[in-house]
Amino acid sequence: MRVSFRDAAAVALTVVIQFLMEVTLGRLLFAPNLLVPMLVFLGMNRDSGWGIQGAFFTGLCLDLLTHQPPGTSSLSMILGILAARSLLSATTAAGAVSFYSHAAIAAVVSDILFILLASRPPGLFLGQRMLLVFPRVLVPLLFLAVVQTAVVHARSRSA
Amino acid sequence: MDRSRKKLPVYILLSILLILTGPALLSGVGSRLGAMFAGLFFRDPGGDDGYYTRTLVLELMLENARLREAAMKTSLYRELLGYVRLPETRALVARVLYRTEGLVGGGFVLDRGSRDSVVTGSVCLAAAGLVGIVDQVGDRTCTVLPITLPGVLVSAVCGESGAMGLVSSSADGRLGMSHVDQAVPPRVGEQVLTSRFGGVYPDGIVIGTVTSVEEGARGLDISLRVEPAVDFRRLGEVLILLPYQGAP
Repeated sequence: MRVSFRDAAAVALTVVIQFLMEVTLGRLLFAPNLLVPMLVFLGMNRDSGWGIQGAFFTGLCLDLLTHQPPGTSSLSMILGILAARSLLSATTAAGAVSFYSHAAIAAVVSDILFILLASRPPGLFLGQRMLLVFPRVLVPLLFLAVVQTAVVHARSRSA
Repeated sequence: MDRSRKKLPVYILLSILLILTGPALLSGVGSRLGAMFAGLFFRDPGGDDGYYTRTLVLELMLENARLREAAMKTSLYRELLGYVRLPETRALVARVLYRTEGLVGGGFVLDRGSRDSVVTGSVCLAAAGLVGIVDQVGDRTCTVLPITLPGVLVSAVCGESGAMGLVSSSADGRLGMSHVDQAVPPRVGEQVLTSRFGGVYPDGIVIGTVTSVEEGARGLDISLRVEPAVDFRRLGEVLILLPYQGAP
């Protein structure tokens, strides 16, 4: 896996922002999930190792920062990204659509797995509260889609 | 793509291992690092040895408290009984260098003098009882007049009967107690102690034991024969009571 400094810096910044938001807004309740879409994006556009090694190390850092059991975020993100790849491997979606669907599925699976792995006692957060995972995942993706659309629209008009 | 895929099981396994062992590892490493960090600022308690020492110190503190209480009670009892009154008196150990003028009439030369704050009139005693009084003080030596020396008078009191009198030695070296009131005749075997009423000796120092009771020369009092408690022939080390310097 070859890692450029810019990508590594972007991931590190994302980890820091994710950590700050989770400690201030509350994990799995209000803090938007930014790290998984970032890893998915890098895995799709730079190197597929970002979805494995990148997920492992960034998840480990995040767990250590947020005092979660080490490896929980790593495993959930690796399996989430892997699940998204497996589910969408047979589709013909391309480009931005593929990214959004990958990111959404990976983030949802990752968060659900994280809840299952990290909750003490196990299954504590199972129930209606798990529905909060969806806005946590979808809101940043929707926001990104809106921004991307606006940028594309502006560029097309200027061209 | 393929190389990353090959590493996927490794990272999944690593993650699972971390989940299972991570908290224990982190807490262990964290505790160790915390202890090392704390060791920079605080003294190492010392493990088992330190625990043993702390326990020993605690036991000694408790014993010390018990001894202090006992000393306080003893002081109170002595005060109540009027038995010995040696307030603020300092004691000095001295060694007998030699004797002068024989066993009975002579004095003892000690290896303590004015450099050791010995002054004329200091009371000298041995483990068994009263020895005498300091007469002459040199720079490094002093001379003690024993109570067996004729002319040395000691204000005394009998321990049980409370009869008071003067202890002195006759020319033949026999110790006696004279001017004892007939109203409270002492018994043979009673201890004779010093009395503070003479103004020289403190209360309660053993002088000797009553060996016989005789009628006085004028028939108005009684005289006692006293066996000295101290063996003056084997006197090696004595104690000099230095007068309290803050006394009026």
